[in-house]
Amino acid sequence: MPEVVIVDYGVGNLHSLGKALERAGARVRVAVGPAEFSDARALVLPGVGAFGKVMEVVRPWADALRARIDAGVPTLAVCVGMQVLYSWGEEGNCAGLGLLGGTVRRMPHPRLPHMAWSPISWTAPRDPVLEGIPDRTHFYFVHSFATPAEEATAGVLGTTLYGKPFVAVARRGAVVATQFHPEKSSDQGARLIGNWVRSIGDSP
Amino acid sequence: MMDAMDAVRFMGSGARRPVRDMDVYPAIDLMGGRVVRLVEGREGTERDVSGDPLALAREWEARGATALHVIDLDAALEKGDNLLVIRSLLAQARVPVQVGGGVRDEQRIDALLEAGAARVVVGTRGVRDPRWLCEVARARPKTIVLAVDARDREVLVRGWKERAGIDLVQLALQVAGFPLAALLYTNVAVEGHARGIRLRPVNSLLHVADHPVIYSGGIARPSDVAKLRARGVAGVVLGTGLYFGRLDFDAVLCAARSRRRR
Repeated sequence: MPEVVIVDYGVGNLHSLGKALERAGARVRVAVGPAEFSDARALVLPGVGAFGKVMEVVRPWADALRARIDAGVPTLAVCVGMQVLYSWGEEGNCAGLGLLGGTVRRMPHPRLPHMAWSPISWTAPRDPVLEGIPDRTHFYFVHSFATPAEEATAGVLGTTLYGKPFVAVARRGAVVATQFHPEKSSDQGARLIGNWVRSIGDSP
Repeated sequence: MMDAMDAVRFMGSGARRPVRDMDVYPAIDLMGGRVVRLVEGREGTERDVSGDPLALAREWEARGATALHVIDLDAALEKGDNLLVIRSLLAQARVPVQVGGGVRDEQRIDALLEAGAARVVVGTRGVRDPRWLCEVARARPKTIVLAVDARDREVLVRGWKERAGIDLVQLALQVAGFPLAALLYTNVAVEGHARGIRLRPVNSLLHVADHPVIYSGGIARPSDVAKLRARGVAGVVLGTGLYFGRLDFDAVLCAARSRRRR
């Protein structure tokens, strides 16, 4: 049973994501700080908190996190966990970890947050983590910021429209990032998490 | 100040709501750790739905529910609470869950959010104390749902036992501009009967409401849901019709969405 390590920023609840990973067959450990995650074989950056707040906590851990991720450790980043992988965040107006190219901007829509089930269009050939999930599948989003699709430099697997198209799923190497909450997206969310957990076993 | 009827005329002209996919919330009302239904919110009228709230929640998820609506009746009636059950339910839920019942202070709101609630439903105190509601909503934008329980348009509080002395439309105007996630309108006059809805008060509310409107009360057939959707209602809470009536959940999902999905 693969062990996944959830990085705890100290804000918000990790139960839902933890339970979802357990249901997918993972053993879950929660880690605060590099001492607890530097030996992780799989990392999860959960979707709780806001960009600025999360970066305040994560900034001192940035090198350690990048080192793990660059070492090819499978990583799943959800919502704000995805956002902090980008170079810059308008929310909090600060730099992110810079593992994905692009800026996370306030969404150009009068009604924020975008809190809805929205359909995703796959933009890349089907990634293994999306196996069995049809085009236009609805996933559950809660966010006011996102990376505009036109600004994302690479690795975009799927986009959704809210005001303008934005990045809904991205990959860079062993990192899979979702702007939606797979743990709250019913069967297809569970499928994505299951695909990801299975992929941990395949990686070195 | 503009009175309520002026506002209806003023806003009614231009305030057409877009018709979108609706959220369908199966209701899980908790009493003593069990799932029950009350008729018109009266104590003593409860009928048993299930002794296992977690299994019921899983069943709704499996049947395609995209959200759940969980109410702690004991907390609402000030006779204890079901917090332990709610915590377990929130931890296992695979869809967003809105939770309410007896939520009267920020401590309870934050405890529920911390436990994983997507939204928290506030009733009596929110109706009686708009200033408090506004502060609470500002600190947690778009996570608070104001429950407006009314006999048609006469707003009721404290477990539907007292009149609030305010009209549905007036209340909707009073909270306009607050960063609430939604207004949840329950028509107490028809709630728990599963004999159909009354559209007039809903229409009045939709004309003035500044927020998405979720409707509850009396839904008995998919056509009730279709009518609400056509008027721009954002979601429906289903209870008695599902558990004791003939309401078919799949048919409701069809009526709530422009096309079948997933």
